[in-house]
Amino acid sequence: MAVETEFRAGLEAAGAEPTVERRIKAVKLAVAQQVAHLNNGASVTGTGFFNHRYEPDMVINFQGGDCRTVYIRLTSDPLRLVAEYPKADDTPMVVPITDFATHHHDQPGWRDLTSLAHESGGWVADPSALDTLREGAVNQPTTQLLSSALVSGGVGVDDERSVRNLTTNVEEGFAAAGKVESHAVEATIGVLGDSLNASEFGRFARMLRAIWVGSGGDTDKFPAPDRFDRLSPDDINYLIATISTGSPEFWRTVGRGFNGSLLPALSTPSITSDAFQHVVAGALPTLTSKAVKARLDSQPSLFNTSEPFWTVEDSCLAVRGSGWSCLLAAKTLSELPATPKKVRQQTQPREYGITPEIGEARLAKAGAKLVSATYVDGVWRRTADPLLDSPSDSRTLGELNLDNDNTRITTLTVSAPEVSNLSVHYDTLVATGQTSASYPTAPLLRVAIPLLIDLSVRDTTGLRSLLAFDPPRTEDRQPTLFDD
Amino acid sequence: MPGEEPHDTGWNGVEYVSTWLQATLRVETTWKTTDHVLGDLLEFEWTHGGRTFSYDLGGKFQGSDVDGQGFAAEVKNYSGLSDLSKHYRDFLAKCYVATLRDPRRFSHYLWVSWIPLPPSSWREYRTAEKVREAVLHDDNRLRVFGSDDLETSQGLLDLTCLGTVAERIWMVTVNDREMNLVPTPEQRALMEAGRILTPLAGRF
Repeated sequence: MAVETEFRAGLEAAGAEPTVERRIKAVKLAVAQQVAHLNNGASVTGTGFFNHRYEPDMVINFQGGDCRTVYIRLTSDPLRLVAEYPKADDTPMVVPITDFATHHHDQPGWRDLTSLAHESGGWVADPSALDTLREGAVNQPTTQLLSSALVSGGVGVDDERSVRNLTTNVEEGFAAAGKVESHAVEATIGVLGDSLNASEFGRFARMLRAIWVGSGGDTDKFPAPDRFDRLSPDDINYLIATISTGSPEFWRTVGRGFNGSLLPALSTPSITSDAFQHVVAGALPTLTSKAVKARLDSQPSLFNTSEPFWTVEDSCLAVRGSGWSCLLAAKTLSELPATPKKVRQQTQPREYGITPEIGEARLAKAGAKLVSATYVDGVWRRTADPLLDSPSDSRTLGELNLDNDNTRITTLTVSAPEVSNLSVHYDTLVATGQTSASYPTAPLLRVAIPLLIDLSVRDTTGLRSLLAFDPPRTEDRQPTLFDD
Repeated sequence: MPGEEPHDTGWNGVEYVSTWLQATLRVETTWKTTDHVLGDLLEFEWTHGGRTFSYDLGGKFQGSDVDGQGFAAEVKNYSGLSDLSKHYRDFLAKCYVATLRDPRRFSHYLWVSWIPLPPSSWREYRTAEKVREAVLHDDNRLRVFGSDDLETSQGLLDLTCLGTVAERIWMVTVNDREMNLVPTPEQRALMEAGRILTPLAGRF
């Protein structure tokens, strides 16, 4: 006997309404709410029709602009469902409001119904199927993803039993992808191919591939490697909009399989989600950057009380802290917003440059070795060339005799593990290497941010957790603010 | 629950009429006796004797002066004359009882057949007198009035109801080519472009 659920209670209550109009309204509302629960990003609008061959009862509108029609049916008899199958030329979702019979596979019309659904790209799902998906989606992100995919692009005929088989198979497939076991992944891909349209199937397969790669699997050994590409920004947007139950580890695994340079292409809702922080964390170990640009807020920002977090500013991946942000250029300096010419002309080195004392403090925080410094002393500029020839690892700004109160450093060039010859320009607040240099992003930020900005204690603590994900540990590396 | 099932002879006729009515674009919904949630609304109890009857099809019109009004239909997919007149008499008696029991449920009663009733009395089929004859017929008196006596039954007649039923009767004769007279998919698509959608459920 079917378990009483909100959906069933709604359908049951509909039958107790006194008039045709109220019964129809109650049934449509129950189905609409069930559908909206199953697809997190969907909104449902109703038509003036009900149980109609030509006109849908409702239309599901998905994020991104796609839609799907829903046809409610008042019978679960396969023969009647075949006769009453939607005649419109679309890919309908058909919802009989009662369960299929236990031995429905033996019923006349079952085979025809299944064929009809596949031929039309339609999905027929009885209440037991929908309730099973909804129940499973509460705690299981893969089932949540499957629910959304079926509502959006499910194909075939499903009841509780078939949905349970499908969800189990998908869970096993995802677990197998995480363990880089091709056999189970291949089986899941096969099952999903029969249950989803090409669009949803492709997204699912890319997701499996991302987890496979994120778990250390070789791309070439993923089942049918030529068929599936990497996750696209649209895929990530969809996943974040769809899955509300994903754990941090789940999102980090997704991030590991994602091309991190595409992070700025994600939608605003994705970027502002909690999942985004974990996706970036997952992508971080393989993410490289060309340069970092710091920006100081001219006015107190809404974020002033927050610990540093990942975001996107001016189409660049960025870390935002209290009153500042650091933007990353992935491949070229031109990705960074330019410092307005007017500001540069009016600002004197005395204003933007840092004192040797501050420089010393920042070098210590960054754990970087000084390579060279460019500074102004009054009206002239010189480069501390002798330093470049010094073999010493303990060179400090103090040894340069930069003890004049008026001295301001305009550029520091430093080296640290994985970050060699990084030049920090205080006029533009940009840290970059030589022309062709590109750095692993986390080490770059660990060095660049403390050199560019005077960090608060809160910022320091926050950055430690934000960037210390899998920190490299080498004997050569000096202790930094990111070490406990 | 009574009603036509897919394996019944009459089912194809009911299915055909249901599809045809929907294809006209003048019907919001149809349902059958065996349908969940709405099926029981096609069922009525005779005034006396405790037995029930049901219509083959229920529905709602859309557009013009019948917009939003409910209908019940009796479908007779017979190829020969058979006992069609007797069935029509029963149909009228049912409509009389249904109107007495719940006058607002159905504003229209459709008699749909593949062959017409005898044309000799064609003008009389939708008159109060014809309804009166039907309910007072030997076959119906007892279950409608609780009495086999004609005079007693006549005294119990609701004259207003007779007139109401007569006004609500539609006689529709269809044939298997009726579906050629409905809008084409292209015409339908044009009309669907103006489909009005109302929010049912937002994002959860």
